[in-house]
Amino acid sequence: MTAIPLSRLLAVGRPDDAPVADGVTFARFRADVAGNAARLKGCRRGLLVAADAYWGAVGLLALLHAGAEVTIPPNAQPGTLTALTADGAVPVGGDLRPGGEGPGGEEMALTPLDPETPLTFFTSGSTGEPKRVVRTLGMLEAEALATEAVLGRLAGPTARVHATVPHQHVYGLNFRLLWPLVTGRPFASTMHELWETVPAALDAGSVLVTSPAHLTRLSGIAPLPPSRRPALVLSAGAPLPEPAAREAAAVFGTAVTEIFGSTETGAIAHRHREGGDPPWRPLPGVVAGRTPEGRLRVGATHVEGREHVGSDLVEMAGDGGFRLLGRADRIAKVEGKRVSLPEVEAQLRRSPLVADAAVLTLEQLCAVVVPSAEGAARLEEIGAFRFGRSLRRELSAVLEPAGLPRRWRFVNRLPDGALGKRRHADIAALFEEATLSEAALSEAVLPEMAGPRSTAPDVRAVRSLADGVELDLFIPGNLVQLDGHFPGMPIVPGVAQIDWAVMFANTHLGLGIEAAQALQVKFRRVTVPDTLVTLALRHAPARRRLSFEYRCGDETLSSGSIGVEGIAP
Amino acid sequence: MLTQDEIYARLQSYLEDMFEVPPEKISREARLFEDLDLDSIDAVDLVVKLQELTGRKFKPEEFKSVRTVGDVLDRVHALLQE
Repeated sequence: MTAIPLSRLLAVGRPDDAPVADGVTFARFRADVAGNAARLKGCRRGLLVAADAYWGAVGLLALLHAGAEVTIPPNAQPGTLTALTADGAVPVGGDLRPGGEGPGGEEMALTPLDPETPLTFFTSGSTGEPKRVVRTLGMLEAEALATEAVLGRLAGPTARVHATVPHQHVYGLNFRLLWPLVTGRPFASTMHELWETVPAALDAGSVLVTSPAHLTRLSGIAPLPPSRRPALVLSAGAPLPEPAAREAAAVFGTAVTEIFGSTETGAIAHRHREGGDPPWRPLPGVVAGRTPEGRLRVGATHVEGREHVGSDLVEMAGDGGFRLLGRADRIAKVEGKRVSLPEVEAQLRRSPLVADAAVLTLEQLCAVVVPSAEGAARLEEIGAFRFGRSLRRELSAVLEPAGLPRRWRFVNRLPDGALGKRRHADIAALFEEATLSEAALSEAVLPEMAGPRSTAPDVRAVRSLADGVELDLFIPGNLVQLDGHFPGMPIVPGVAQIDWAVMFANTHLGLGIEAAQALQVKFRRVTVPDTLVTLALRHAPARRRLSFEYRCGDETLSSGSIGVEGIAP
Repeated sequence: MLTQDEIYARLQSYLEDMFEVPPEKISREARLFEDLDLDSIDAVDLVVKLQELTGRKFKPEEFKSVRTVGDVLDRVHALLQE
């Protein structure tokens, strides 16, 4: 099927029976857009919050055809939506209705759209606040056509597109929604959150839009039979580690195609992970260059101002390709010396004791390390402190003292956010407890020979869930909360567990719960201190509830839910 | 002026918080390198921390001969008397 630019998709149209998504035909899609556009007429700015990709496509085009500016919020948390709707933007998602229904059943005439119409996105940002990025409809259109020019020959013209990523950021929007839509490929409207549901959905020759967050968690998934092997597996958001690339190729029978880009530029380059570390090839119409400071310069029609210089350091490879050397913002100043954080991480990963590592500066250089099997045995044997010191001794052979981490945390998995992007805040959170007690110490009068006592468990790992967050917590035996509750019998009181659920939900999910209200809780097993427990926090904005569960291994210790104030999306 | 006991309390909390040394291993007799597993980087960081505590600038060589926690205390105390 020929590609039709997004601005003219509905004005030009396709045959009525052409598939769009999950059994929905083009005629149905056009009616849904026309009906909702008529309802949204007069809306100046819309906030696209539909969770489902089909209704996301309907909402996006209905807003555009109604003449509204579209904002794609970085997430659907109540706080985010409150901030974004403060200046009059209208959330559009759950209220979308099939076209031709309801009073009036009015439809809007679908004329070509203005390619200059602005759309607002937000960068997730490796540090700090999300940043607003404005792109035009014409840029999205050009990006989808450039995508077709390079991937069109790899995916058949009727290949079905599946995804494990949401459509609310630039990667998902282009690859799972706009590219299929403008090229006439049907797309699945529901996102797969777990691998378990993927094999049954895939068929031979389909496309899977995924990310390192999923591809690094493939263990236990059996290789797919030929009848279910996708033609194309896409990954973007963060570099895909080599072991995950190999495992993915074995499971899917297809080498992963990696996409490189940013919120500011959209997709700009790709590479096939058929082994080794091939250079990135720009998409058609994109020119990659290097600034005198070594940063990547991107020239493309789908980039605002036609040129963008970001924070990625590159070296040029032959034929217009490039290799990424890390981020310019990952050069830290430690004790007046420039330290390349990626280099410290790379040196750590070279140790046979280390499987993965992340390094950051929090006044001091801090390292979070995932030990290898050999490393884990050593850690068990000599303890965290001496293990850290032995890694530091190894590093001191190749790095200057400023590049040697001062503080260490050992975890089973590095925390990562959407698409496997590592978030500074999640890594920093692993050091938070010690920082708190240090702060408490400096304020306190000299303590009587006793160390400071904590009031919260030690966060050992943080993992994102589709609808929340999961934390591994170590509950130390000297917690203040343990005093006097059950004399002679150390048990973590339920009230403390509820307090921590609220505290971690406020910090990690951005909720503003002041007190645990409308509480429902069930204590199944006693929780004893000096153990490692897992706390899962899930936020259901529609139900205005936060649910929590404390587990030890596979056993549920306690679970419940708490009311969350705020608007439902 | 800090007393020996006050300096010891502080030193103890630094060892626990900065270097994550288990409290039960800390005593005046404990050897920094052999018993507490500190390394030379830790020793430099510890001197920096003691400078902040006392408001005095120490030269790293003034701590060259220290071996035990007690040695560090004596050294800091002596330097503060000067």
